[in-house]
Amino acid sequence: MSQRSLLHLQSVRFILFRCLRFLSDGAYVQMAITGQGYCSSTGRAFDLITDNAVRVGITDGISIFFTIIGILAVTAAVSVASYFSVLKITYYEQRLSSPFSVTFVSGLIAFVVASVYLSMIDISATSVLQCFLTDRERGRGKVCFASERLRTVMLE
Amino acid sequence: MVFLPITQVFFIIATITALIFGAGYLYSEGAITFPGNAAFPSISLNGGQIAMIVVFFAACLWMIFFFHGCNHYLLCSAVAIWYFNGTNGYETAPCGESLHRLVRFNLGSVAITSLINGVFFIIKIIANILSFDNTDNDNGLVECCLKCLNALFCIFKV
Repeated sequence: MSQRSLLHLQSVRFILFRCLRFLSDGAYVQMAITGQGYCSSTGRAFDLITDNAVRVGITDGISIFFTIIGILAVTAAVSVASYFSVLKITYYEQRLSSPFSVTFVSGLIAFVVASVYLSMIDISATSVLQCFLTDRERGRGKVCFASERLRTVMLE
Repeated sequence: MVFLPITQVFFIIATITALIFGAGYLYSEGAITFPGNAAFPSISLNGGQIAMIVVFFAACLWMIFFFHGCNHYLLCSAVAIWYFNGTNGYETAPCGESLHRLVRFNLGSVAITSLINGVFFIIKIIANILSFDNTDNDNGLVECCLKCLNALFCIFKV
């Protein structure tokens, strides 16, 4: 298999799993809004996503971008801070021969914690979008429940 | 809401610990023999014990996905409550309300969703392990089926 087709396959796989994840998130939101079961909620979420594919794609892209940037920033900041703490603080300087193990472990912990918390923001963004789309669908094009600021951002 | 991921991680770690210890316990239930005075014992399990281990693994995997699903539902539900009630000035407690909704109305749906997610996870693992290679003796139809299976599982590979 050539490098190019392998890349295409990986892209298709990424999109497929992202869609499945998005459908799952949407199903949970629809369950929360309507109180219906899994199958009908997934059906409603699928309809909403296919009807508003561009808006969903843009929001999801922005969400992924900020999640990745956030995880990288938090991990880098914690790693750099722990590296310089070990180098500059006398207590650690006397007891530790190399700062790399401490930097690696603190970076790993920061990565896990940042991933967990920023995935919450990702899910929340998906949920707000689903709520907005449901609100708009129920109001036949008119958004009734969104705050003014959210309405401005989403309708732009 | 801040404690939600911490609780989830705590429950998942507890389930994984139970899984490891339980699987070890079930495995040690088999007949232990030392063939030829070997240093390491050989453990043979009968069909029932193997079935028990498989069921135990499946149940623990489902539990892990179920906790993850509950966390997911609580978050989505809290956001939905905030959106439909909070922005209009109604006094609500989104976390408590979503926990009530989860237990009262949607626990079964979350269980089904987590089961489906768990099945997908197992398919992903199987797809990473298995590969259907055809041999020279296979006829055209078998070769075609194996290639289709490979293509199907290739989608699910991590």
